[in-house]
Amino acid sequence: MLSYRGLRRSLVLLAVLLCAGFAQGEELRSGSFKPARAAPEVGLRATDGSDLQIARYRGKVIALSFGYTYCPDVCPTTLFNLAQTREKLGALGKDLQVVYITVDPERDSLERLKKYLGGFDPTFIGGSGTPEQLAAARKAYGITISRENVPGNPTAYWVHHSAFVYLIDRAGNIRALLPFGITIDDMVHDARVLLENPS
Amino acid sequence: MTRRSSLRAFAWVALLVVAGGAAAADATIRIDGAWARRALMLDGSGTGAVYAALVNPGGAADALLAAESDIAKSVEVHETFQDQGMAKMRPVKRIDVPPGKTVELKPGGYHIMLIGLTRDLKPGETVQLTLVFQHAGKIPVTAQVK
Repeated sequence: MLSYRGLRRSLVLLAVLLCAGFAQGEELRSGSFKPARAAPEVGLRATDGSDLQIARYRGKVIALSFGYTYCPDVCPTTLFNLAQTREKLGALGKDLQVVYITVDPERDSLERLKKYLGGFDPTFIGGSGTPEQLAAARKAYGITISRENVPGNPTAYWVHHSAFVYLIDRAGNIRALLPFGITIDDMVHDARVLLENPS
Repeated sequence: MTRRSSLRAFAWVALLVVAGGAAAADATIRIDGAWARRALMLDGSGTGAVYAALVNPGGAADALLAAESDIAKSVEVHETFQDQGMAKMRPVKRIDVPPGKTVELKPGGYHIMLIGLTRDLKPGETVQLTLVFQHAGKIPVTAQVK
């Protein structure tokens, strides 16, 4: 039921993106939101010790994604590409705030998440909270997860999860959805469009 | 007599060289551009991934069956795939490398998964591992950390 709802949500999102994409193709290379909609707020704790709220980064462009520290392939790829994107943007990169919310609060303490993210870029902010708070954040952003035990190892598990990155503009509106696998060049391009065009 | 025996020795050597060369050409898998993603060991519970191109220049099919390394407590061959809007992962028993083909292990696809890193993987360093093929056997690989 959960995965069906998740699938339906993903399909609706995809349809919206496709329509938006045709209208707005020349600006952003990834799926864009037209009209832009306000980024849902989250109520979590941040790896820098403060509350994690989207509104806190008003004035910056936010790259928001979900993942976990035990993830060997997808999450490090996304985080590495985001770190490269910040670097390639030069001075503009300072205004790109990466926010990474865990899908595995059981194992990802804020301390662990901070250390993990710091391996890619010390400016990255991680977020965690109670299972309920995290579920609300995922629901608001259409993120589906599914936990799977590792065969033959009773204590190990993976958390499969949606792996796209949202770009939220300086005014706090969701503007783009970057699919997993997008090139660093395209990431840089779309982040630059939002960094250079405030609204 | 001396000349005949040296001729015979030469013939043997030639035969061995030719045979050895043929065997190598048949069985050899080449590993190109192996690299590992930077990662932290996180008190021994950190994970990592190694990627490479598996090149089969020969005329016979082969398959990657396993990978070994002391860089992690356990090393597995895995695949990332998309399902219901999620990026999922599953272990694979073998990765077929058909004759004359190259199979890429790359982010978001096939990868060698390092579970429980024994040290940080820092850019500029290297990681030693062994890839185990069905026919080519064990091939040592040095992966660059990026």
